[in-house]
Amino acid sequence: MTETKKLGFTVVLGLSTSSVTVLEPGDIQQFYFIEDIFSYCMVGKMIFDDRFGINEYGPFTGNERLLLAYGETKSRRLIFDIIKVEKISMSSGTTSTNGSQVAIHFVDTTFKYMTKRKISKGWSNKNHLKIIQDIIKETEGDDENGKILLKRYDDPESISDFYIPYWTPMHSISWINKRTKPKLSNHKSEPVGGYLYYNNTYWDGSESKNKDNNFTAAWVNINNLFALPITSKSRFIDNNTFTFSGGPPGSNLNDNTTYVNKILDWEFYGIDNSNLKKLQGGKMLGYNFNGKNLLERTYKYTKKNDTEKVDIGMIDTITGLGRKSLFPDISQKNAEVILSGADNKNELDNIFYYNWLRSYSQQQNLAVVVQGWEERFAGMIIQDLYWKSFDSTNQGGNKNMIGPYLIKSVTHNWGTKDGYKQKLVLLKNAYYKSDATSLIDFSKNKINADSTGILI
Amino acid sequence: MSKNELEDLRISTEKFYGIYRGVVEDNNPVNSSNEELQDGRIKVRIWGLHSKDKNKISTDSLPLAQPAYPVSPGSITGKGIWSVPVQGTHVFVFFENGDHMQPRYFATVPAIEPPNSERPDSNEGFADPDDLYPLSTLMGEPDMNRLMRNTEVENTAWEYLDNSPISVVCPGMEPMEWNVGDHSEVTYPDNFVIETKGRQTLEMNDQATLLYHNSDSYILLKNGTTYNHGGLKVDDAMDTMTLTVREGALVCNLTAVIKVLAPTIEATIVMITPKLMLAGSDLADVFNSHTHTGVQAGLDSSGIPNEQI
Repeated sequence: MTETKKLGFTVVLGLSTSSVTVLEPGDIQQFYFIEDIFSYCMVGKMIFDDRFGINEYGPFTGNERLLLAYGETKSRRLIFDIIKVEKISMSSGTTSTNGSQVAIHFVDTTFKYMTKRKISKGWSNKNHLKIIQDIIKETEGDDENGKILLKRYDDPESISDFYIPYWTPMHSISWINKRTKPKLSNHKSEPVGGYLYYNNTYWDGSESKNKDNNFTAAWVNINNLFALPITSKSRFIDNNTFTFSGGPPGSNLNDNTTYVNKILDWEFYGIDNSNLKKLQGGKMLGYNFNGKNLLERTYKYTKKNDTEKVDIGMIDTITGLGRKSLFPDISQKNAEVILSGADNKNELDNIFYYNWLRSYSQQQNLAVVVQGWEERFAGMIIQDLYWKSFDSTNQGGNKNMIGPYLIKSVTHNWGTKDGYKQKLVLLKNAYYKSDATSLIDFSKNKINADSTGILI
Repeated sequence: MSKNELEDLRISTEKFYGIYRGVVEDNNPVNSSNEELQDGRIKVRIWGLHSKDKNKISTDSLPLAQPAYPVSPGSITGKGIWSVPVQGTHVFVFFENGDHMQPRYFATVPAIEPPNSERPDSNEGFADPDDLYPLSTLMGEPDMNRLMRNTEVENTAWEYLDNSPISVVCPGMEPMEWNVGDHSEVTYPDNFVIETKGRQTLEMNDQATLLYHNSDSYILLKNGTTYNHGGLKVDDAMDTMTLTVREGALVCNLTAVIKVLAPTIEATIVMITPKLMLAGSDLADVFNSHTHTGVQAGLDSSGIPNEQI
């Protein structure tokens, strides 16, 4: 075992021998890992000065594991498997740094179970939650570190026959995610489908002592994820106020504020009502094999009180911001036609909604860099992202940019200069409530050029 | 960033194009209300996709495979050729639109059965759960019907035909019997055989056409002669003769006619039976010609029926 301590985190590279010190404090140039609600596993990368020459001389096989401890008391512990080792420079020394660096790519320990193990298993007339739980159980190996705790889940309504034709668990869960919808009792209106399965660093303090090697997967309905947290609402909300200052952190702000250090990606496109009117919706075709009839489903992206719709109850407004194109069919007069093999119209609805919401949710995709805080994780909601120059009373401001935001992904980064930083990719769309009335009236001209902050 | 992040995160749906082999485990599945579907769909366990372990995939949790029948008058509202394979049969399967939940079976696959010692375990997958098929009496040999291979006729329709000559017993006459021939003149592969689960058989080749019922009734068309074996019942007390083809629809008419004829032309009936001249006009001719001439045209002096009629 060899480890290095630096900047508030500890990395232990598990080697078969402890007689050789591979990593010294200061060797690591960069260390980051990413958690994402659209990704099944967490991935990361470490770049370090290879003083010893671990590939050439060291007891290094590539099958080692990394132990990461971080947080205020180093209580957060994650174990990663190495999946790839790159030699950044060709030369290596044995006694001192001479420019040789090694990059190690790693994934969390559930990755191999989610992707390498193939299962053939079937269920008849089973609730999808039961199927998911069975699949997760199948992923468990004899390795305790690979055990997955399904910490958050939503109880779905769908019950069906399903089998896995020697698919990986990841592939199987993906198939189910698109076809599952929650129980009606959990929603005011007819629920639509779409579940997400992801792995994050969500920490239940009561279990952290004994099961600190386990990851905490979540299988939640997209409706719930975007509308409101499922259970223990407060635990999934970051109540810190995020403020963009434009200056160095702490310059003129109070202690309770979490500063936004940097805005990485935020673009504003000129968009008007005519563009929004072009949103045609979509069409999916299926075929009922037993009933011998074509299933034709037409959808429109509309507000919740319209009659013909995908039931998108949480959407009050359709915003035109973002770095992605809004929809695949935004410029088409004719609705998009996707031929699907689904033989059930409800299944078509679920598949369509699942695909649509994932696209829609990223239309307003904001990436910011903030001071690192270990309590923050993907799937969490930031209650208030406050734009200092445009408060709630300032009509010139874009009120839609005020939170809440859903944290789509968190990149935990430790660098040589900045210490612990988190890059948050935030999703604004698809929330149930928004204080804003409209984005349409907003234009560049209303921005006060003297105001601090936002650069557009 | 030039890459499309969203596309990167998507897991493509695996499509199953091609043909797979499977084993029929349930040819009469039921729905959730325990009602038989009776629509041709069956449960097939497919090699390479389904585990052999029934604890992982039970027969019930196998997807329903729809039939894909060959070109025929159709497969609609009763028109067409209809059959469902017995359990244990190997079938070829494809997946419509590549969807693994939409299997279609379209052909059955014969092979060579292993010896009894290697018989598939009915408690595991890829076997008939009822342990009926493959038949224990035919293990170790090709699934191809024995009438096709013509190695032996045991356990086939010809087992009865070979061992059961047609016999005729009439009051006042010597019993007569004759064989319909044997099956040895049929050669592989010049034969066509359909055999049902209950061994009802239809066989056609250049030598003969056989329609056989497992009650040992049959009709054999051969060399210009129609052989029929039913039962020829002579009731001395009632002074009647009844010819029956068991479970055959033809029986009633024939019986009725013969009952009328029998009291007066016993010997003539003997002539009719082996050649099965059953048409109404023939019977009328017989009646007209022999009612008045007695038995002189029925038997020759040795008691062997002549075939002048």
